[in-house]
Amino acid sequence: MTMMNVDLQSAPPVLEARDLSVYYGKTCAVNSVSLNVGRNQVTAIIGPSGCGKSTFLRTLNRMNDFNPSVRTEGEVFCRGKNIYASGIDATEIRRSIGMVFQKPNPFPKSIAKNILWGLKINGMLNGNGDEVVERSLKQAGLWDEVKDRLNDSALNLSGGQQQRLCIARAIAMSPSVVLMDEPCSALDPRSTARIEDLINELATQYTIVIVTHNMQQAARVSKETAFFYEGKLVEFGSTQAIFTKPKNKKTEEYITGRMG
Amino acid sequence: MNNLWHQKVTQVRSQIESYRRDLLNWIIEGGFRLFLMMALSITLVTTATVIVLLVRESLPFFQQIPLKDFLFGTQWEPLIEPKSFGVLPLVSGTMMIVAGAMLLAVPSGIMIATYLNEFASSKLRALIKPILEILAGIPTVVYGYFALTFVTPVLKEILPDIQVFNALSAAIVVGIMILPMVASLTDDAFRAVPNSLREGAYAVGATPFEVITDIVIPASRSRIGAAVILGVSRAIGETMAVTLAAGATPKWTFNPLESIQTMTAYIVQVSLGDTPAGGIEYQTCFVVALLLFAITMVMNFAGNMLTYFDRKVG
Repeated sequence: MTMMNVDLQSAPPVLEARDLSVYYGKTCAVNSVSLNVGRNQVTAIIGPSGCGKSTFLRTLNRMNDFNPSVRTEGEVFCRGKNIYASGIDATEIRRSIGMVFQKPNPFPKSIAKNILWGLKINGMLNGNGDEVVERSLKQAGLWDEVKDRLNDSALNLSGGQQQRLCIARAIAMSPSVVLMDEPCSALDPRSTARIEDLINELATQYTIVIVTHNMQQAARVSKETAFFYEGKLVEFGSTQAIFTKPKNKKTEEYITGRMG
Repeated sequence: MNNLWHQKVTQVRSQIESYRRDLLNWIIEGGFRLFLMMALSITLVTTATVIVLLVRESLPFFQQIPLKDFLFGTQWEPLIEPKSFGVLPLVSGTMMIVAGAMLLAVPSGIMIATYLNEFASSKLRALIKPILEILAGIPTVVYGYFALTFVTPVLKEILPDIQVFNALSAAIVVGIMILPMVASLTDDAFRAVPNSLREGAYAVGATPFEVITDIVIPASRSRIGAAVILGVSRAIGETMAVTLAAGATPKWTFNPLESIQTMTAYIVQVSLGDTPAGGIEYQTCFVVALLLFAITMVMNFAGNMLTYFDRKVG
């Protein structure tokens, strides 16, 4: 067990943002952020509403491309490759950097097809996919609840189940990184607890970046935490350090609840 | 003693006052509700009157002509001796128009909606939507004239066998006529698909084409179905363009190059002609209208069933 606990500093980064800035028209939403995301661990991004944390997250798989008023500057390296370099196919990037959204958004298809669709359209499906469905659903802790109704519509699941299905859908693609944008904000406390347990389990195999407005959640699930304020990365370090002895005054004010 | 009496009087007075207010409210509320119900009743009374009229005028017809001969006969010659009352030629004429129009309007409508929703900038969208609505505002008689003087001559260049009056050119203009409606309803359908669904699809590495064909269209299929059914209803009921362009030759045929007659065009012919009221020729007009009405009703019912079934499947 001690062998498994790789020292924080030595975890090789999977994602590296370099001087990343994002503008909505003339408004600067993310201001020159540089951040490393370590392999097989959870990195949390916290900060008050409007601090640019979600916008930052969405630059990591080029999800902001769909908003024509967004302009991105800087570089993001995923496994050493700049995803903003010219000639890079954003579709390919999103194939290897999965995302889970605020509101569960299962496709209006069956449970099994939700898992398999991404693989199918990308030509990554070998055989009938039964194993992928089972493995992904097991990893997402949903298998026992749905194994008898894999062909039922995913829309009949509860909100918490839908969100776990969305996580299963993301990890079925064997992504390098899974981005989670406030994945529990639309869920009740019990479903939230389940998702948090799940994130902790997944962290042994997957690199996860989670945006959350819930500081306790960040403390519970993450190994490293980044604090954003007004578009800037104010402080970044081990979650324990951020929450027990923050270096920056703004961070301290936020985590003690004097700002937010 | 006096004090107690006074108390009692005040109590009763306030009670009466409260009853008075309740009554007044009841009258105002009731009056308002009645007023609203009257507005509703305009539609109900109209529908009921139309049905009663159609049935009443049709009944004498069916006393002379068996229903079977009417529904399955392939000769429609009610105005010329020897008379014949098989409605199928009118039905085939109408169906050809509907099929042709839908073949044109549904794919183009879906393509237009896709372009407006998924690709066009908001500026372009703001420009195109009103143009579509202008298209919907052109009087149908203009479309008929357009078919006769422009579409048919063009078709004749390609298909020399085509007759001056033909189902094809009428079907094309009816398709153009209902295109704005189909496109606009499909556009609404696509807009109703939450963006989070599109993002979810993009997040697993989908291309825009895959998102539209595999996520957006299936997610809005019941609304697209409703758009198609409304389009069919309009195409069935379309009168002026088909009267002008498709001809007045009831023919049991599925050749779109020939002159045909639709149910609506026949009603126009009888209404405009000097057919004396009361005779069996005159009654055919109502019988055909009743059939038209029945078909439209079945269509609407099918549309509702489709939506219901779709909702159950999810």
